[in-house]
Amino acid sequence: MIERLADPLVHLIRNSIDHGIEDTATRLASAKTDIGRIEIAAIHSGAQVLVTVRDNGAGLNTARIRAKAEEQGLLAPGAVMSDQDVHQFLFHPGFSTAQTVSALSGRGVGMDVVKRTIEAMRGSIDISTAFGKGTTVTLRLPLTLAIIEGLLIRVGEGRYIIPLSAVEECAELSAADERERGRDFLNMRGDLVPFVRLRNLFDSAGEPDRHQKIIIASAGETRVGLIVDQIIGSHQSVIKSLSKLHSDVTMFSGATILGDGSAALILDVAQLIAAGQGLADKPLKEAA
Amino acid sequence: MDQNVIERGPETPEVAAPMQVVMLGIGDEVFALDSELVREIIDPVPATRVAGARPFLPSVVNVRGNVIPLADLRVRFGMPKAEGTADTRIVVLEIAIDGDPVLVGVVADKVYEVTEISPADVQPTPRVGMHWNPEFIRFITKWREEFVIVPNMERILS
Repeated sequence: MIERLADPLVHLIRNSIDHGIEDTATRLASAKTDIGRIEIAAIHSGAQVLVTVRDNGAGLNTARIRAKAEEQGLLAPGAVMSDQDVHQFLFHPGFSTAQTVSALSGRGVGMDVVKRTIEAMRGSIDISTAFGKGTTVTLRLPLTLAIIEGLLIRVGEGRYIIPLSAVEECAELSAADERERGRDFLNMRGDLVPFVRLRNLFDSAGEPDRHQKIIIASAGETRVGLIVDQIIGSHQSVIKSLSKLHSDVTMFSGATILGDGSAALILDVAQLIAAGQGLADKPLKEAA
Repeated sequence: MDQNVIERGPETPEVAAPMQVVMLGIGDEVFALDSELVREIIDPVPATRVAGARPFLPSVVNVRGNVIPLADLRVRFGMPKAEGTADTRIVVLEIAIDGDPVLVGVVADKVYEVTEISPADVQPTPRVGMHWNPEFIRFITKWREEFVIVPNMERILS
């Protein structure tokens, strides 16, 4: 984790020096000490670590970021947008407000990479700024890379975890949707969403529960409904990787241990969508 | 080490020193497992079925916070399925798969004892009269006047 954090931190510190801290004359004119200050801190907060890089420089120039975004066609001129949202353009690939390319920055490569790196570690990044006072960039990183927020569900007798980040909404499968008419589609407020019965995919034994639940999950651009017997609730899951001997198993990305000590598998939503498409392509053998 | 035994051919097993083994029963066979492989022997714990896994690795279990696969060697050996009994145990092994240590649980119908087998008792694997895949067998030895199989767990599980 530390190694992966090094490059983003170096980048943030460079940004503070080059974009944040003003030259001596400007600093003295705005009643600051002539020496700029950059503070780096790491704080423990719940299941997260907050790493902050704070400078007492000029702060973000929201107007200039906005002008640049409009110039690059990212934002319609005159569109209403909060300062917070305008600052998000800093994470856009190729975005730079520095007028000239210096030894340290201005190439427009960086913040998007920083953001990608942090998100790859399942963290997030925030910027807060006060014009003329300085900028604080906060990286929120999960304390262990192995904890995810999950939705605990039951399919047949098995309990499974769906990563909460992939869940869009949960609903009850209505009687009209329940009727199998040879098409596994669902009308979600006008959108056609294909669905997969996890019971079929997992070959679960026993009778399905009377009121089947549907979880709309997304992976990238694709949305899919996953039909389950029961939604048990949210579950903070410590990810255990699956054994090498199970490397041929694609539907699950890992496992976790539940409160009662038993193991539950974590669904790999992207793979499930692919598997569901494979299942849909096969002729309906059991439905007839 | 195990690989070398196979490469030299199953007829010339080489056990230089007495070997410590764990004797366990699966179906009506008795196996002598090299005790070097055995991490622990535990009572059965609830297993979680893994959909889409190979039939002889049908589930995972939690062993001291590790989620490890549970192997059903009855399936692998073509034996009939059986319910667990009071004697059923999970033998946790550490085997090498592609050079990496991998933990795996094996369901044993009974664990008899930890004992030593002497090089003198080692028998060549007969080429005929076996319904076993010879790849699965390191060699055959004697225990309580019975012939028992020393299995090649790496081959069986991979």
